[in-house]
Amino acid sequence: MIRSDEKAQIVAVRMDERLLHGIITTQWIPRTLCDRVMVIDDVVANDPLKKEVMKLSKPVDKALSIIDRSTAINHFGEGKYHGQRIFILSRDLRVLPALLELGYPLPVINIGMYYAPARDHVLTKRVALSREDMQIIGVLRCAGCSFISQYVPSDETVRLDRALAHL
Amino acid sequence: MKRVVIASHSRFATGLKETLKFITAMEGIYDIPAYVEEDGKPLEETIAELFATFDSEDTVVVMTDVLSGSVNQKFVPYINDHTFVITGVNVPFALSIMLADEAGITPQYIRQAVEESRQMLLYVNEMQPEQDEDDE
Repeated sequence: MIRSDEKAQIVAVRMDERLLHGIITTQWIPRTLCDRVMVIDDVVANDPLKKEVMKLSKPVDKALSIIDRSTAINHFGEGKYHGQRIFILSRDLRVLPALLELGYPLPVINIGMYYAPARDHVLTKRVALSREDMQIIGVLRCAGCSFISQYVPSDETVRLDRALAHL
Repeated sequence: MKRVVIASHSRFATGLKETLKFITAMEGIYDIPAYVEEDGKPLEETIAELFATFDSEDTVVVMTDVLSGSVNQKFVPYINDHTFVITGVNVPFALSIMLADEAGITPQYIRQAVEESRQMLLYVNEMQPEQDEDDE
């Protein structure tokens, strides 16, 4: 664990329906310099069995958080992850504006696999957003965030900003 | 270049290839599911034809199902300082071969990968999930 005098740094943000799973552990995390993998999900964090199952995908040398949205916001607010580089996995965009407000800049947001229950805007075969999602994305884009979709590192990166601007 | 060959009695080789493709999204695995057809080509011939398509300087990793099978035995003549045969493979071992680049595949690397992948054969009933004090 790298200790430094710096605030926690969010080095990766990935929206993935399956949250932490094999492809994340074997392909994404090895390519990312991070100290902690953080799954932010209200369902999994509060279901002991689902949480135990997800822990089986824990990368060996990283700390793992599987916490719900309000816990994440509280912890970041308290400066809990001081000096750590964090890879965030979620399937709910709502946590992101809260992190920005707490003063944590976000890297480019990778919507790897995201199917909103209300599929108001289908951007790719792996990305379907609701009207509510679009509102949140609007807030994030105003704050300077950019969006891509890339399922595995060997896939082409699909840049979403232009498509999002037109919606 | 790196060549990955998987061979087995019947279709384990093909199954392992498909699983590796799913996990790594990588192509270029040669599978030899032996004895699937009753009157198929002799296995030695299939192997010889495959190796004839490789360059002599290629690094070749052959993974087979069991030591005591005829399948594994038929690869032994091809062993040299850049052709490696490993038997009794599991998915973690196969992954460590897929994820290494050609220059990284040395006898030392293979020895280490064999040891580490032995550790990945686990009795889940009795496992404690790895819990770091930093986890939550």
